[in-house]
Amino acid sequence: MALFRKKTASDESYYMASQWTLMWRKLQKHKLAKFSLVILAILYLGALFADFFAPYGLEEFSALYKNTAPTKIYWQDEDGSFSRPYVYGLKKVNDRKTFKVIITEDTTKKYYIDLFAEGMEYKLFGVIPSNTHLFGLVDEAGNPARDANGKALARIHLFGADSTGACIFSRVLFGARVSLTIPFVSAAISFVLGILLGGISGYFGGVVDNVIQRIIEVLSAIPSIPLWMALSAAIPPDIPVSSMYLYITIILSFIGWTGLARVVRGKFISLRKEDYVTAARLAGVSDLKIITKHLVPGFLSYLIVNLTLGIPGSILGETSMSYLGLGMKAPATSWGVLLKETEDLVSVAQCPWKMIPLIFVIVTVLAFNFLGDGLRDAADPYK
Amino acid sequence: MLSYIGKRILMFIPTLIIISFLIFFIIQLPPGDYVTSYVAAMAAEGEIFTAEQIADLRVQFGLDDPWFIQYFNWVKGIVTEGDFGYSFEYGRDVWDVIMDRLYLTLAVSFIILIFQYGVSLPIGIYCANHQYSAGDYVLSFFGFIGTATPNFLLAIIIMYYIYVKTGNVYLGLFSTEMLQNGMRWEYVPEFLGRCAIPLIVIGTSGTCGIIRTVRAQMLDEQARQYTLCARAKGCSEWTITYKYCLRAALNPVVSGLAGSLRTIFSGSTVSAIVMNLAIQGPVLLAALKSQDMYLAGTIVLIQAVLVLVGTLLSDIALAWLDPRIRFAERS
Amino acid sequence: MKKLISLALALLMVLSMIPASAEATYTEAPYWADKGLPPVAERLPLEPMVEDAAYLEIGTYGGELKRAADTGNWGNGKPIEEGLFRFKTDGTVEPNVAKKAEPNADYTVWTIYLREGMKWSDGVPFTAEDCVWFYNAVCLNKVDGKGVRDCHKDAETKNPAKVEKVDDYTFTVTFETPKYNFPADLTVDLKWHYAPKHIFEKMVQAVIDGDTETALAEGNAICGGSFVDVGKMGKELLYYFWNYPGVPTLNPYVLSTEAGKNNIKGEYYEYVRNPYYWKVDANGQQLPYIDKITGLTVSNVDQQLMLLLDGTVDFQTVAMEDIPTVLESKTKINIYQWGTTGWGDTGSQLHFNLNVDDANLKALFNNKDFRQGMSICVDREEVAGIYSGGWCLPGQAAPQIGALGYSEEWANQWIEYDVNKAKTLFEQAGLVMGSDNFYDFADGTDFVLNIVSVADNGAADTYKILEPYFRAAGIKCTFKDSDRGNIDNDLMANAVQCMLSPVTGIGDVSIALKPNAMIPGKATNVAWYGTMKKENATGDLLKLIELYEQLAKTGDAAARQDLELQMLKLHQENQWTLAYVQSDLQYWAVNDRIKNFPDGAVASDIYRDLGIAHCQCWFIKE
Repeated sequence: MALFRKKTASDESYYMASQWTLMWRKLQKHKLAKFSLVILAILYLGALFADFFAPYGLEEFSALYKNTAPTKIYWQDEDGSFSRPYVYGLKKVNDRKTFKVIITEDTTKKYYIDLFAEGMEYKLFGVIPSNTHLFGLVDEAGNPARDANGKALARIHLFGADSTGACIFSRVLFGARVSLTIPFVSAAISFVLGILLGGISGYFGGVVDNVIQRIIEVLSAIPSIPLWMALSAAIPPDIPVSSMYLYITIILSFIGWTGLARVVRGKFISLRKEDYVTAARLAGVSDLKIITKHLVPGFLSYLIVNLTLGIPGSILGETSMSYLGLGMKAPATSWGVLLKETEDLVSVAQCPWKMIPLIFVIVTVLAFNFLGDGLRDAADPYK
Repeated sequence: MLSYIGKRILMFIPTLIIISFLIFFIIQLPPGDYVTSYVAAMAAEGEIFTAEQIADLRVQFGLDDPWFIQYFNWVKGIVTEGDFGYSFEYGRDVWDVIMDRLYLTLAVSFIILIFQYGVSLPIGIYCANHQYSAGDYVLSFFGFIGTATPNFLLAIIIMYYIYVKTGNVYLGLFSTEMLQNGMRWEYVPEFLGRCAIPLIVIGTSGTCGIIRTVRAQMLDEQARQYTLCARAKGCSEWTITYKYCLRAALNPVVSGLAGSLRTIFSGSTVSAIVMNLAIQGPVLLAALKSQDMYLAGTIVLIQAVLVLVGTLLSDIALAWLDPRIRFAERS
Repeated sequence: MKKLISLALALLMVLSMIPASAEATYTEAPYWADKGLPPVAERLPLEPMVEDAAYLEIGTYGGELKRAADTGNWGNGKPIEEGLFRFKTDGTVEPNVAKKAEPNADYTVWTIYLREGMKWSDGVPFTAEDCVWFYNAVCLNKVDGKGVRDCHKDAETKNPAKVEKVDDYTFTVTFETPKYNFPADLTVDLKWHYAPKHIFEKMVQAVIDGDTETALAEGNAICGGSFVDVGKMGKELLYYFWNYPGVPTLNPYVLSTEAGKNNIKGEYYEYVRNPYYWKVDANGQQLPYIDKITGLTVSNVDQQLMLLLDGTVDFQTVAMEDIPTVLESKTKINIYQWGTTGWGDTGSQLHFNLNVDDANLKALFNNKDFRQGMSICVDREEVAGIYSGGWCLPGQAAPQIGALGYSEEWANQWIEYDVNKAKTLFEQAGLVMGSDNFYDFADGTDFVLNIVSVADNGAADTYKILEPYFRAAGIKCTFKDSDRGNIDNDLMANAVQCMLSPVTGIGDVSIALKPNAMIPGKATNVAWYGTMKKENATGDLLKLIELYEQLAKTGDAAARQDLELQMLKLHQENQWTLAYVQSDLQYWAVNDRIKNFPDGAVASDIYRDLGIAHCQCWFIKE
């Protein structure tokens, strides 16, 4: 579409452009939204190719690297001359007096950072087997920095390591798979149900409205925590944690649509007596068409805001659920799980790098919000 | 109008019956019952129960009946004697337990609600009036950042950095001295300082939604023809913004009020746990988790009533805000 | 005559000197000055108990001991609890509230002697009547929700003992057959054996008579409470009595009766010193030294830790990884290390249900080769490093150094890492490698090891580390953690197959004193033998139960120890439960201003955990 726009970027094309082209154009004016779109694209690509971008798998634990800071990368040799980037391995001593784990670099051997290095085996998209990772460590001879059993001799952790010695950078990428997709599903379900039922309720009024309103009242009174507890207890243990989480999210999004439905209903009630709606009705336009063509576009801006609030809302909801011990759990990983692990004082005080995933959550939430703002402005038919 | 409200209030009765039934059903749905969690809590402290003792406890708490009979007895108590049952955990009337924390909860929730709207309405209006200005971006950013950070983490980070800077930990709304000696005038500055953390943590979590909604709605309304007309007639910008646009823009905000009323009663749960606030949220969570049936049931039921009342109020407010909505048409 | 008179006068003077000198011997806290109390010598018993352990310094009076806790009964109770007897860290029992206990020749009658002149915290004399009434009215009628404890049940017939008053300071406990270890059993099971009759007599009588209304009125009047259920009230007031204002105790501290400070479920509460406390230090100063224990209610451990850092809280157990943060704090905090009694770290213990319903699984779990395979397929060095940051060493479920039954051989049994040998052992145990690289049963059915655990105790993290090793050895696992209550339910329904980080870890002070996780049938929430009882036990498990039963009928100390060793030997030979990491110590972070906190004590429930630190002897030096 971008190519198409470039070719025909002239005054004439402006008047000929479709509604979507116009939106795209207006979106470009919203710089933050454009920027957000790029950020989100990068994040989703990262999640899609997590196996490739992540230097380590989720199960590559290490006693030596437990709670270690981001690996220091060197660009210069001892004599100060420029070198291929390299890192050192680590040595560890437990000091029983200060109760500190003292970790120092083992400067006897260098490990070089290599692009497209060999690492853990994986299947890209679940089908294509590979063991090439975007980057990894090799020794001087160019062999992967692993011993005969495949255990890493030295490791490179861009964001440091967690309490099991696993790579936080890799976990952020794998966690994105859960955190960037499941919220989409639940937001989408709530969104569709909200518009549909709120729309029906507001448009038709009368008994239908009354019934739907009572359903909304009943549903919004249901406490979600015991429901969550019951559902997670009912799902058998051989179902993977992330699938279980998905199922519960889907079930809960069937009761999470009520807020939006009320707003949509309110909007429908105020719009359905507008002259243009009456005119359409008198002209014999079907109800469905009136709703989709005349009423919904009237408050599309609100819907876009709602949808783009809903996704970050459920990303954060997932972290809260993890905090309460009801969301995703190890061994599965998600951003909520990562944040839950930093929630204790020791992480904040001793391992501040464990808070790096927080930056990803913030950036994602902000990006969705700004993108939403941009989309809203772009969808605004009056400007 | 009055008859409409009367009808709506009458409708509360069947709705509440369904709601209370569902609430009770769902609370007992997770496996186990209060005795299980009680025995577990005691065992965690080293106290071991025999199977016989556990059976006795179940009889003692009336948990040996099927849940619908428990439900029936509970409702019967409420209807006939205004008795909401008693909390297994506290060994006291549910109502006493709720009253313990009611005032503080209401106070905290109202302050936060006022803070949220007080901060986000002006920001939303400003951002709409100055679309794409630096102010729009900067204010939006700060409005969003509170929402984007999970409350529990924000709380612990703020508390830790205040500790590093001052050497003091501000946990909870009251210091030990305040709890020991009661509130005195000299404690007021510290108390207000302690209030600031929850205000920032919980308050900012809700600002984003309001800012975004108001901004979007205001922009919509500003482009409407009636705005154009008002402007052409020579209305002041102030009148246009506040008398015309804002009034229409508030529609979704007011629709969302029904939910706010419910949270006022319990307060934010996760943040309250992290910051050790003695409000209703953590009590409800604990009661739900331990299946302290009547306590959890009553709190959720009160919330449900508040949802119903909130819905009604917001419907009335919507009609007042938006003359296009007419009750008579619907009833 | 004059001589006689002067002699008589001199005698009189000497006689009058005696109480005067007795008064001079004992001193009280300045806190009690002008409070209108009788002199301290009259408040103390004739022979007060003297706290004079070697590590104790003579302290000074005053100050507050500041705590923050999750609301919990025992968190407040254990530190101030006063049993008739109490344990020392070497596992022997010493008199406490009671002066001594004497058995008759055949150990069927135990005579307990109390301290003359001892008083309840409200000043009313504490007598044998309080002990006897407690047993006969409260325990026998189950008014405290607990009923007759095991220590009062006959070793053979399980009939409850007879408790009778001899005089105001003596009572007897009579069994049908010999009860060799009554004081220790009492200290493990019941602890206190008394309640203030003068306060509770009417309430308890009403409960026994079934007069609910009177009982509730009486009980609520005592504690200013609003109980609505007799069962709950009985348990709270007679079992968790230290939690309620207005209930007299023998403890060093009594819950405040002031509004706003008297509710342990509120935000803040205070325990105030007991004016009639019956212990003194070596210089005759009435204990406790510290005036008050204050409590803030917080919601989690991290909050306790934060408050410890800024000095709002005086002491707290901390995890090893928290210690650097604690030592770096602006408040001076000392770390005290206490021993633990578990056989290997509870978090890394793997318990197989030896009585599981499924026949295939049951045969497998009872097969020693299978257990050995499960033990050696894990790289313990690495697991211990990840699990504990290198502070805990790799190990097996076995008694710790210094404990009865310890042997280096046992401690290092099956700890080598050898996947190939593990696979051989699995095959010896009858498993067959399937096409999916996982073992199946010989009959072709899938073998899946369904592991459960309690949520929020870190088991999910341990499982995450262990599972790849099990998988590499061909063992397919699933994991589910849920609420502790649900796990307990499942345990009782025998629905648990295998448990990681069990509710009740194996190992305790001694297999004789607290056999919960070591002898089948001794507790309801133990995973390794499932619901196994003597009726369905076979082989070494049956032998184990029989040896334990024999123990109850053995009086001779040497013979008892021999039985204990035999039981431990059975554990060593079978290694019914596995552990991968050795037990960690318990670390207490204590503000520097608190003195007399013991170092090197042992953390155990039967020692009453913090109770062994005898907080009545702590004092504050800023």
